[in-house]
Amino acid sequence: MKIAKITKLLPIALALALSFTSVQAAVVEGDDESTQATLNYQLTLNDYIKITSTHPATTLTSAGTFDENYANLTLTDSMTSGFTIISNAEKRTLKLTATNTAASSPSAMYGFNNGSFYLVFTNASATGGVAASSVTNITAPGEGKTTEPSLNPNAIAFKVTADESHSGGPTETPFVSKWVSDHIEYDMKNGTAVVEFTINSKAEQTTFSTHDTLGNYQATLTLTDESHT
Amino acid sequence: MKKLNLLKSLIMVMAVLLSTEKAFCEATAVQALYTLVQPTVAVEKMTSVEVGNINPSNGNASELKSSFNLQSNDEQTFFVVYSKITILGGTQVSAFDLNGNLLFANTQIPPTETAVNNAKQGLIGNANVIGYKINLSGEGITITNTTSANYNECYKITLANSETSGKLEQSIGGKPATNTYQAGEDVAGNYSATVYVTAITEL
Repeated sequence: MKIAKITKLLPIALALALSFTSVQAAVVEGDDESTQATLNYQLTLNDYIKITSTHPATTLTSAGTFDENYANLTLTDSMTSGFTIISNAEKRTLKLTATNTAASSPSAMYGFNNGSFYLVFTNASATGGVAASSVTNITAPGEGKTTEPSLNPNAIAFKVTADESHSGGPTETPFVSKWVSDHIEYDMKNGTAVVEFTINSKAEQTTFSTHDTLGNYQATLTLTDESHT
Repeated sequence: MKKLNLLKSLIMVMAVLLSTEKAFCEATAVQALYTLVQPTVAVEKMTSVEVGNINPSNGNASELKSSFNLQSNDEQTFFVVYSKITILGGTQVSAFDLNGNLLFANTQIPPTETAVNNAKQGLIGNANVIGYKINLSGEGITITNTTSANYNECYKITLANSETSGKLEQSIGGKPATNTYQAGEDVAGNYSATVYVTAITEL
């Protein structure tokens, strides 16, 4: 009888002993729960560029007067305009090109020097248009040569002075201009850059003559974003 | 003979049982269960949106958000939410300001400490730092904006009376904090901030 009771107690004792073990295990697992959570928030700021004209109107106009010998042309109004560029790229390349109404759209700029250059205007009213050679004879007359008034009818060049500034970004070489082939490139660091062009009031003498007929002379400057890093 | 052997065996089993009886009784009785209950503290991240975009034209950010379950049966334990960003030189500084904003730092061009401090005060001159309002809310918790030597600007989270768990929610985004975004000054790229939710007993 006693033996029977003892044999009944054995499994109970073992069962309780096992349940004790499982309680201990649960507590240990509880200690392993994390007491810290981490969030790695990431926001991507995309590339941004905004180019606007510094002049309210995109077209800048001036009348011109000439002397009685029709040898010197002078603008009557100040012609200053340019671009404001806001860029968030660490480095960006901008391309400044110049065109006019001549056939085949040759580059209308030449003589780059420390930001300044010369710009060729062509007669938009000329009957039959203006030949490309009228422009290229000014911009590239050939090595050792200078343009002859007779070789550039209906094309008149003016010197253009550039004024460059930069703010809101790195201060070391933030806006650098250079001549590339037939246009100007600007290496710009992030920030706000302003480049303004002032057209000299006096036309380049060798480009103005009686070969230039009356009418509306035009030139266009275009600034485009080429690449960024 | 067999009975004798069985009797001997039983005597041995009883001896073993008697020798461990006290231990079994303590282990299996209510007493053992009570004494083994230990403090349970846990922070569990439930959901999160940790990646988003900034509109470069106005600096507005898409919403980042997360939720946590907080657990504690220890009256001494509470929770702290603190944050870090990496500045120039690799140093980490607090990314919260006292106006409820979380600052993000450019990871490719880390900001200077001055830029971070300016951003915390809403001053210009904070290139490559952008701040956004952080909204903390929850259930069964109390949130206090505070500072400490260990965590700098931070949020202390305590469970409500007689609660052993609560829920914390965070959301970040929308308009940039005052003067912290300027197109052109803040370089394109990735901006990062790390937020920690930790159970502690002392700030």
